Amino acid sequence: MGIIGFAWLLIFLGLYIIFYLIVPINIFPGRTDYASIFLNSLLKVASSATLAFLWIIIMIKLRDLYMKRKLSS
Amino acid sequence: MAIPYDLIVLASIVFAVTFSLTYLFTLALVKTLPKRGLVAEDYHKLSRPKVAWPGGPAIFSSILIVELFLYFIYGDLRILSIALVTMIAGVIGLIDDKWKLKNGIIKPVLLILASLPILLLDIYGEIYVPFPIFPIFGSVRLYYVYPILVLAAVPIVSNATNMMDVLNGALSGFMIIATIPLVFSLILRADYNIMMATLPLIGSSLAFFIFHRYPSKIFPGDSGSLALGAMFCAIAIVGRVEVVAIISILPAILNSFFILSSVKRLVEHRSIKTRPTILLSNGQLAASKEISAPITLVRMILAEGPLSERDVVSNILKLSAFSAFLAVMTTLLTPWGI
Repeated sequence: MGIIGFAWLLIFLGLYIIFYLIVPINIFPGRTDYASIFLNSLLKVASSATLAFLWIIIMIKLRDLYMKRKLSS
Repeated sequence: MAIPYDLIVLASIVFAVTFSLTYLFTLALVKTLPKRGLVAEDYHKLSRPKVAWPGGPAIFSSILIVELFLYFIYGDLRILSIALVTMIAGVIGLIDDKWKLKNGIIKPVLLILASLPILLLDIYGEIYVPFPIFPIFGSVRLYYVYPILVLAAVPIVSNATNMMDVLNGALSGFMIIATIPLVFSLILRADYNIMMATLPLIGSSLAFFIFHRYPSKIFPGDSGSLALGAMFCAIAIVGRVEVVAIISILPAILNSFFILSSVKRLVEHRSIKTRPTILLSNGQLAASKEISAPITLVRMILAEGPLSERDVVSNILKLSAFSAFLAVMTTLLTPWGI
């Protein structure tokens, strides 16, 4: 239950970071050409994907820690 | 928020009809399948009894009948897409049950076909909305990415539910609990058509659970597990309750994610050589201490100490109930009107 609850909290934390920090990013303010919009969106997708990857790493570490502790005791 | 009286009556009928159909079909399969030699060994019991298998056709055929009935009442293409997704996933599961697809990649690729009705029936933009609604923050435009996510979601969710089908009653019990938050959020969204289309999933799982619970008289097989998972996913997409569905099905997603990350490849569960659990001489199950054994939800539960099969299933259902509670909390934190 702890792992599921923690995963749920991490999802909310991730959503907060995505909506308040990543979504407002604009590295080309004032520019409306296609390349700028595309690059800006690409940066947002890459940042969100990094967060998702981080979520996966945290869950794997947590699982390994849990199994190591339980199986050794 | 008052639900109209006629809707409650129709909901009761839909639930009762799906329950009765699945019950009768499963009863028939329990009697006929062993006569045709269609049985599977129950590895988690000392006597290794032969159990009727696959029970999937009883599940997806009864769901299909009721969903088509609902489609003719409402004329809502979303309901038709749910029915088609369920049927295609069920048929793919039947193919897997019959010919045992050994390559771990074939089934997920085939399951992409099951997601096609959602995309292909969307010619008038009535099936899905590429603006998923997130808790607290509201909806987000994912116009180009969303169809790709739909293609990936059905194989991921149906494989995740398939991997939950490990012990007597685990899958059917899990599906009953995981679907309740979807009904709750669809009522809050006042999307009564899809709420009605969700009831057969609970009704069918509940009727099947009667035969599937410990000691099982029938196993759902891949035809049952994939159909249930694909239907759950289709409801989440067309009902716009994606995030609630992800939270509700978190034990299954974490289970499949833990398995795949520990075996480090896409693999068919039958082909995993080292078993994650051991059957003890007293009939209890224990976690394998082999390093190469996949880390499954059951192995994590058993890491605390040996348990009977019934207790492990009870723990899985408690985890499902906790996830369902978190999903209900997520529903309450979601601004559905935005």
